[in-house]
Amino acid sequence: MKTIIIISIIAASAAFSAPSSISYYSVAISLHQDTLHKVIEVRGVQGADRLLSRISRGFNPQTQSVRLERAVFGTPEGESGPIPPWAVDTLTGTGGWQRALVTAFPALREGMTIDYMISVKDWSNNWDKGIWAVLSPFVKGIRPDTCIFSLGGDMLDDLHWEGTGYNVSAAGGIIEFTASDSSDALVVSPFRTFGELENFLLRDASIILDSAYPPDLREAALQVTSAGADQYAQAVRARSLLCNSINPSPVVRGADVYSVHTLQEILDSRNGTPLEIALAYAAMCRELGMEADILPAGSAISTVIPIPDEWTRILVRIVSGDGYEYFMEPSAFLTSASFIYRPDTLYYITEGNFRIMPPNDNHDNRLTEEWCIDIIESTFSLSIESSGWYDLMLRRRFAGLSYQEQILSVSQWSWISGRTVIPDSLSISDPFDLGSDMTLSVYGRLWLPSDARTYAEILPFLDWAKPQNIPDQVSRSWILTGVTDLTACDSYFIDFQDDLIVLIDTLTVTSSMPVIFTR
Amino acid sequence: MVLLLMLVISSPDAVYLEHKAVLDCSRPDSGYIETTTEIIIPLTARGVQRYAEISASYRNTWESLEVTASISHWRSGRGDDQAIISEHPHSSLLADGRLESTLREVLIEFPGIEIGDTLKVSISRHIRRLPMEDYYSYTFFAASRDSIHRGVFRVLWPPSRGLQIHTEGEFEEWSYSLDNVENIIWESGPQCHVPLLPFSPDPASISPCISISSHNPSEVSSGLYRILDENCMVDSSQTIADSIISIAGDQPADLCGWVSREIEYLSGNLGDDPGYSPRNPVETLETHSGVCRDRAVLLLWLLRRAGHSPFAILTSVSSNTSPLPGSRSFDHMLVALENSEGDTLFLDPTNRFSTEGYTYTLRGWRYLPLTSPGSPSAYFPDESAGDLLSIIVEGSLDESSTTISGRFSVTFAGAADELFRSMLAGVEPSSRNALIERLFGILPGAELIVEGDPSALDEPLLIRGTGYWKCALADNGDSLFLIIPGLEMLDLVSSRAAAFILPEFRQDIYIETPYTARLSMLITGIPSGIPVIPEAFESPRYSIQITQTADNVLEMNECIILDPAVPDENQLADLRTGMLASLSSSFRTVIFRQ
Repeated sequence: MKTIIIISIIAASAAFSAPSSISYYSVAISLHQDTLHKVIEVRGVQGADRLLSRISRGFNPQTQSVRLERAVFGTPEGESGPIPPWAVDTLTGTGGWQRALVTAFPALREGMTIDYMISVKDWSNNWDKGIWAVLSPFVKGIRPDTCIFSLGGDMLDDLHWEGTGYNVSAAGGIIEFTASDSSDALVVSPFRTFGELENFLLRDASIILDSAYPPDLREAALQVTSAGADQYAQAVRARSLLCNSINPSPVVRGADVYSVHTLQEILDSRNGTPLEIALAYAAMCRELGMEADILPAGSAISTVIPIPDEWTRILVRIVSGDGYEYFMEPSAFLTSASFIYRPDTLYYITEGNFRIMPPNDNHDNRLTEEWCIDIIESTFSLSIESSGWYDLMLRRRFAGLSYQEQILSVSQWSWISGRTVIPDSLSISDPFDLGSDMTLSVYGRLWLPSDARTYAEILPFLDWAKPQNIPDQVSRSWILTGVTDLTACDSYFIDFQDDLIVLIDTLTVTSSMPVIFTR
Repeated sequence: MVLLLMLVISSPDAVYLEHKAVLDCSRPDSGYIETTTEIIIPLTARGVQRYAEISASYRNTWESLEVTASISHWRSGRGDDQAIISEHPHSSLLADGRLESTLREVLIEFPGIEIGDTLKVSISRHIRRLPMEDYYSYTFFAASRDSIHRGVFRVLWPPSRGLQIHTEGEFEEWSYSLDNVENIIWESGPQCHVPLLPFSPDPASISPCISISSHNPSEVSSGLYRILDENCMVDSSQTIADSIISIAGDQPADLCGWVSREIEYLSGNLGDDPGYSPRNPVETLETHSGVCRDRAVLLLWLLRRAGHSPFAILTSVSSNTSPLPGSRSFDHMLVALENSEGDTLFLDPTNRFSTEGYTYTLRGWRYLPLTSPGSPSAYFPDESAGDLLSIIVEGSLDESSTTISGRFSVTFAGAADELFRSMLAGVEPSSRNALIERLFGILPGAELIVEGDPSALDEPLLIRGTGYWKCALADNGDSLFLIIPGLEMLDLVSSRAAAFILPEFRQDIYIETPYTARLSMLITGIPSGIPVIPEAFESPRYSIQITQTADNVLEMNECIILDPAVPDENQLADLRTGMLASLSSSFRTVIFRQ
């Protein structure tokens, strides 16, 4: 095998350059009592993209084990052999996985084949209702020639599934799904109603929420009642308090999806998953005398089959003492307390019912961007007021930066927008105060002053890179001093006043525009 | 007033009340113990974020770590907590393609951390033996990106063993002898934090520091030569070497290119010292993979077989190599040889983008040549005169769409060549056109040709094609004002540098990629009317001139010099003046009087 590899290396330049392909892919899942077993097989041919050189499988060592059953590679001439022992290692994983079993095929030239098989054992508590999974008929973005998913073991009778383009067969206690060229993801779930799913997702949180709260939580709740705040204001202040105190921690993949730490543990660690932050928030609101419930939510709900994977956001519904109902998203880091970001319809489950929250409208996302430009000095001041999506972007751009970094951030932003300005100083509202909308003021320079009486320049503006599906209300204007006359394109409304000229952007420009000044 | 302003705008994320390192090297036969003690108070939200979890890495093949850490909460009633300590394979391994789980990371998590809490961390590193050979060295830095109240560096050293010392900056030093052990102590006073900002120098490069080592660089060079060069060479497989030479060619650049293309960057827990000791060339060929050391050794072997006299060099790409290096001081290995003129030719089979044989970020940094008799540290050449980006546009103006359309070409040299090669190679071929459009201010939909593979150094890189550039036209009734797009739009890299360098709150600037950008733009189809050409602007680091070369033709030549990498006060002032001029439309505006 070694000789073949060296010869293939030496002759490498003449190799073909086809993309990698997968000839066979199978995932066999079976549940035996409380342990889920999964066997994954991949066979394929290495291409010029070298996609098959390494295969990584994430796992959580607290609840899962992964064993490499087979890793063989071969030449197109038919010689094959196992990978060397050093080419398999357990490393720290990414994307929420604690660990990753990494298998490398180190001498895998284009045209060489791989045959890979792993087995996974999962003893988490996620399977006591049965198997649930979203199975994609793609491997590393490649659609396999043959793709087979099979389900076996306990509680098969309770399962239902959804997915187009699959041939389904059942024999010997195994249900087999064979994908076709038109197959999309196969969704498998034991949950028949949204109420069942809600109970599953919130089973730990509900118990804690209905139990007695630790004294530390009451103290935290008291902090937001000062200054005679009404219940809505208290709910907003509680959002800020948690945003400042609790570090959002990523969801650990492979762990029990419904598991939460106790309230005392959350407060002591100052860390929380979205569900834990929602739990702490709902408990605080209850402590403050409000009705508060935790609601699983998600926007990418692609199926009518309830499955935990799709409910990635957690809302809290609050009813104040005077009967008003509010929705908050406590884990929405650096987002105005009153704003729930939803460019598309957001779905949520409450009391077992599937509910719809319509997308944001243009009143939710407001921006005022006002530039005051002294033409003689070539200086500017910029004033920004924002809400909704604009407020969120401003908070996340500046939160945690030192003053120097904030200066550079404005400069960099103007450069990305296509018209670099030079900030000399700025002031910004507190990005961590979620109760008030964000404002920003900047002072600085624009260009070298010109001696000419009449000359042209490009007006500064900021490109917010707003996705098109977010409706908004934008007011952008330039107040110019030191000029007696001005010419601009039709996109602007020009208001000549006594000692200044105001340009108002009427078409929400998306690039910097030229104007002609006369001093 | 200036001092007050600096204090207001420049606050650190944390303060180290104590920053202490004690090296017990008194019994080298039984190893070394390095104990660092830090007492840290986070001062900002980001300080809390940065210190909520800190990590220390080590190799479990030759050392172990003992960590004690706790947090004292300032808030009454919260008391003290022990840190949560866990150990994992190092988090960088997966992304870097290194299957070396012997490289470990100890994570120290401080529960419930708040601004104002006090963190105490003590890490004892027990070094059973050093990788490869017993060449001990250590560098103590007195300053960091956070402020430090007091620094202490103490070394326990046997009097029978030589000790090399190199000091930069001010330290108070004293020593005494106890139980036949030399105790040498250095203390540093309060150190301001060194902000970590884009286009700022690395804090380590400007911090006061002390380096100590057991051997001088020549001894290290000679000793590591035996291990990394002499012992790795094989005689038994010369036919394989000959086969490769016959395919790749016998010239150094050809063989370097072959190794770079054919050997996948991948490592494993191999040998006695994974991450340090290389495989021999045949092993590397068998597995078709290796990291920089494996590749460098393979290249040495091939070059010698082809009749050349190369030598290996060790350096560090993460920060400048210590003036007193030891076994652990290097993170990169490459190859060099003398050409017929006596100049050193560098070859880096791991760097696919630098035509100089070493990345431009190493310029002026130290390296250690590995030679049989031993060699002192040397420096990579620091020459940036050839760093050039040249953009030529020949187009015509379309007044109705306010665009200039036409042919363009871009050529590169030196650091600019390496930078743009790496950027182009870093994206999928399907995204390459979009990247080029963005880098050179071209409107979407251009027809572009990239001549030369960005990863193939023997192929000159040239970008050419046809495209559209937005220009600005404004008419006030008397005259038509044409603002010609300049480097601000056509060279995203230099305009980015301007955005970060122009704010004047700092004088320490480090230019990440030094080069000269030249733009030559020839425009036909200019508006009717009497053209009024702007006066040329010329300063030491920026110039722009527009001329009318024929009735209907304008030519604009613009040049900005982003150089040197570390400009002095006058050079920085010149650069800022030039950059401000480059943002000013008046030097690029031609007025056509009707």
